[in-house]
Amino acid sequence: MYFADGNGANLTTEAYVAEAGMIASIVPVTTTTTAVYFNKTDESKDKIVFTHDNTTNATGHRVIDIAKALAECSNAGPHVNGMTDVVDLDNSIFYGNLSFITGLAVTLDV
Amino acid sequence: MENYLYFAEADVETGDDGSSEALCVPASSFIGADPGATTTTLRFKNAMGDNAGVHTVVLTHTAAKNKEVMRGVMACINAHPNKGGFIVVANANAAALTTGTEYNAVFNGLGLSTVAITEVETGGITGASGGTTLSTSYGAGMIGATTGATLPAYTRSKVGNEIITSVVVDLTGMTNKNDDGDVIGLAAGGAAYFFKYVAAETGTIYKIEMSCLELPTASSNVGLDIDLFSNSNAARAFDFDISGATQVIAAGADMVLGDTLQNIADHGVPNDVYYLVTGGTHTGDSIHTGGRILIKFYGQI
Repeated sequence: MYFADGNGANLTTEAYVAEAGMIASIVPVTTTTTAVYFNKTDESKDKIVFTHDNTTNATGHRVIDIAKALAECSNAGPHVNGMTDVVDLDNSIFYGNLSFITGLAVTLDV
Repeated sequence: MENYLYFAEADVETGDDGSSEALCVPASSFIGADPGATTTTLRFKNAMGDNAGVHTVVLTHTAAKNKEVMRGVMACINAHPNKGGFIVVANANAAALTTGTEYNAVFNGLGLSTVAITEVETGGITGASGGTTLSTSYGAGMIGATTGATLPAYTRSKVGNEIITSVVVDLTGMTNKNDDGDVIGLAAGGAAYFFKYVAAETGTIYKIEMSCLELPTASSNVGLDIDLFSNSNAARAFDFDISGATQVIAAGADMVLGDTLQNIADHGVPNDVYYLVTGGTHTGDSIHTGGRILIKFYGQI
């Protein structure tokens, strides 16, 4: 799964590739942010925080939309040559209906 | 192929703080289920990517329906065996007005009514700025540099009943008053605590250590004699005379790179917050240009 924050993907944390099976959990952070955690082999972990619109009191928090899309992505392997663009803000590519995502921040070794 | 299980409480607004209001986890992270009088508790490993982290989801339901609820959870875990997918197990998010609650059909007739989510995080933990609920909380006056974001860095490990929480505080940008017993923090103000004694997270604290990882520096008048105090008041800021509070570690001398000090008697009490404090007068106020201090809290549950 490929993620890019829109800053060119040529410096550390401007992009991130995760093996689908490494998703640990997806949780809301605030009404306009959602975090995805990835397992690692030691006591540190990587994290991506998505920024999005606030739909909390309308259709519900975006965490469910992001979780649904990542669940689909992680099972899409055989059909996408191995790497799925989830959110690529350099090229405005979004998996499924994730175009509501306006930003993402990658943190390594949280 | 992997199934992903979704749970949500009645209100979904916040999370990533020990009590996320919604949660999606891979089905393979399921550890087990534990019955209660009108609840079934589900546990999932690798919370927040931590080897020892655990997510807990408590489903409330009609009494004596635990086995049926567990059977339902197993059905969710094993749904779509050939393609994997996204499974809404229990979504109590009625605040989402257009969707309302959504409980998986496997729970029909079991009286599923509420969902409660918590998580115990280990490994690296993102601190809570301005928070006073979590142990890993810090005040605005404890952000190391006025123009940067050098924040207290937290890690936690748990082995058996032993919980060790480590905090690294970067002094860069903080001011060390030329007055014994004054709180160290940003001269601009803001509460300068960096940790809270929350027994549910830390266990009963029985030992505290303070180590110098990088010798503090300043353009002039560098203060190297630094103490550790605890107090129930989480509003103390730079220059406040906290000498009447609990002195946890009295350095009694200048710090030495690599050296470790340990508390002798006082540890603070639950709900106390912890402050770095000027340990001795020096020739003038120090505005630190460097310096990192590691504080380790040892607890037992």
